[in-house]
Amino acid sequence: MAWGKAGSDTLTSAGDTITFSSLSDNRCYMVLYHDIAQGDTDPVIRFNNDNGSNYANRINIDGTNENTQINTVQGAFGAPLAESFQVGYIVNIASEEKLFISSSMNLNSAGAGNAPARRETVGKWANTSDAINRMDLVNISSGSFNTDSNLTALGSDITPSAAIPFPTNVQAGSRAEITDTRKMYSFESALEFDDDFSSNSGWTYVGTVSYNSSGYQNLTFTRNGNNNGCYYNLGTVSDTSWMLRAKLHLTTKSTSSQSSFIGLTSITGGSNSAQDAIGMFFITVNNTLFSVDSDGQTIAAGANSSNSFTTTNGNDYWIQITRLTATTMRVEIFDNANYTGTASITINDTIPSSIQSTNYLKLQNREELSNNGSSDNWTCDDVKFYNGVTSVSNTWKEIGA
Amino acid sequence: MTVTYHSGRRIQGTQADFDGIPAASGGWKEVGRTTLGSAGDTITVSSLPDKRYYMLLTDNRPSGNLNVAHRAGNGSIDTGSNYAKRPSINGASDITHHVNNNNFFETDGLNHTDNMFSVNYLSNKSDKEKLGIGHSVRQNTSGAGNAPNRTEYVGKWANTSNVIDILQTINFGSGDLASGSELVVLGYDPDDTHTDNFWEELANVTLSGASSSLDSGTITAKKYIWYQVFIKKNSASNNYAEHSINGITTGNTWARRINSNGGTDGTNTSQNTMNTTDTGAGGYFLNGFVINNSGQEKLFIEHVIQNTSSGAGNAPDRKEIVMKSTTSAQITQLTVTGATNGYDSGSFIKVWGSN
Repeated sequence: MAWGKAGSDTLTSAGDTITFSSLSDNRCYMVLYHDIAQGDTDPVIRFNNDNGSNYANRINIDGTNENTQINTVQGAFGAPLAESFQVGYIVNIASEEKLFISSSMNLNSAGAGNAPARRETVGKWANTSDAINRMDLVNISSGSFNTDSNLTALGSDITPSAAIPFPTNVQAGSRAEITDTRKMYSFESALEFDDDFSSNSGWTYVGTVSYNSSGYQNLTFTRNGNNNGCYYNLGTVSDTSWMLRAKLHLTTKSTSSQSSFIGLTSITGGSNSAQDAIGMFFITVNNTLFSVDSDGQTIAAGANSSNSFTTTNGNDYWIQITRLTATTMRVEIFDNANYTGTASITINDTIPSSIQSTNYLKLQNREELSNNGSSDNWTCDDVKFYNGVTSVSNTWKEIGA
Repeated sequence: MTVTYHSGRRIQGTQADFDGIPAASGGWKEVGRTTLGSAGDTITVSSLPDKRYYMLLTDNRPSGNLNVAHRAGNGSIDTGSNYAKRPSINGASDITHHVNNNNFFETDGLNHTDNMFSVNYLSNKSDKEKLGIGHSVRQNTSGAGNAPNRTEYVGKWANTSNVIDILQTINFGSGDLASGSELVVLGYDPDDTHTDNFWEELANVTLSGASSSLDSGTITAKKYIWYQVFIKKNSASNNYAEHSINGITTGNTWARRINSNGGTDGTNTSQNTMNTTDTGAGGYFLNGFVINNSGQEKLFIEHVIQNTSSGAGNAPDRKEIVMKSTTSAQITQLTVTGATNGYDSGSFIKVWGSN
């Protein structure tokens, strides 16, 4: 056994708690945190979510002030006020008081003209019945831990090892028989939706978007202040992994500012409504492409990373949008129907895990822009949606679920 | 259960097998190291991968006067006045005038001609100032009659546009860093999936009954040693943690410097073994690092929590200690000894190491 990752949490939005739980029982922990302060912060530690008066601390501040705290509701771990960093060691025996040693600092005010501040701390959690199974770094001051603040614990009794997944190097049509839960799974394609638009069954159209019986969607994204688009209910979509593919043909792009979105959203309404969404967003006149990760926002608000991508009238674009994990996504555009070779553009993005229930496949304009008479004119064909996977390879699907 | 394969493309396993066994990623991994092959004023480690946290181990050996600090950079070392730091030497008041400096992580800021060992940590986020915490021990004049010196410090590199990908130990003294001086950089990132570990477990001993000592037994000699000791005090009214190495308890080979609860540093010299403190009724926990070079004094950095009385109504005590042993051979056994049967069942010693 050696040191290994026991738990870690990195904030994806500002908050007052950084936490992880379900810790295995390690005799010793090494804990590090990096508090990216938004306003004044005062990071303290709590174990097993105990906020009773069960902690005592001794704190040395900047080498001079030695303070003690007893019967307090938190472990003194960090250096308050500004962005801070800490390294600590904990002994963790269920039947003994949990003891910790911590060194911490904060940057004081930003810039090399300001010497940082430091603290040397020891403390204890006077619990003698439980091993630590959860750690919370809690801000007890007026500000917040900002996005990307991190708390990490390394455990002393971990044997590092690679993950062992259930086999996927098996023939299509293989069946997994689960002996204890009596479930069965079939190894098959994760393709859940495949539409060549030989019909428009299941699609709903709004405004200037329509179906062409020749076998494609006719996407006239008119900038007229209204919602112009179409959507399809995919059913339950994974909140951690999926892939969407579609062929877009640009007939004529707008000559003044207009926007086009394709992706998955949580609502059927227009782009100006608050929603969860993951997708891509063209502003063709500016030769600009965005990845979209809207977390209870409008589509435009979720399109927050600008990338240069030139579109040309008459060209085909094979777009691929992938939710890689709960917190990561990728947008790619290929120049061929097999989606092979190097993508013409690739955008990787981190996204909030709280983007969930994106069950609607949607193609639409940017609704809130005022009427300027311009339009993006696309067609769309060969839509494929793979659920629960991040590639087009086969996957295990429960039989009868 | 092991997954089994059967005719008709059937595979059997448990739900746990189907759900998959998650990875257990490793801890600190060596991401860079430079060892001087000849004397010089800088030790540079470049091409560092982007890790959220770094741990730095330094082995500074003198060839003449040393005055050692550190620098960071992206692509090249930043030699500008973009650093600030706060050191305290031997428990004296913090020094705060080191602002707009061209270095940080100063390990003592003094000219000296003795070996130095330090353990340092850095946060490393591209758009944030890089924050560092460190502790060092300097052996002082050789021999157990001279207590070692210690420095504790924090520092920052006020760069908010790049990650660190290069680090440097730099000597501002008139002499050089001698051949063999070294800077080792370990990295850890929450997104790491590796199964490596710089720190190899060398001993893990837990008492199953009352004992007078905790003994690692024979361990493989490693250059860098990390150890942790927890002592649950038995009935003895006074119970100590007398350190010894390689079973040697005579010869006056030890010296130390100790700070208790932020007071004035105390020193002890020419000791047969090295006591760190009373172990406390509510438990005693220490975290320590050692540089373990053959033929050189062994330099220790320790932090201790002494839980004098149990219960949340009693604040614990703390100790900051540096020690040295003049034993020439590398450490292959680490022992902590108390009163007769003074250590209760459940007390433990853990030792990790790496070259």
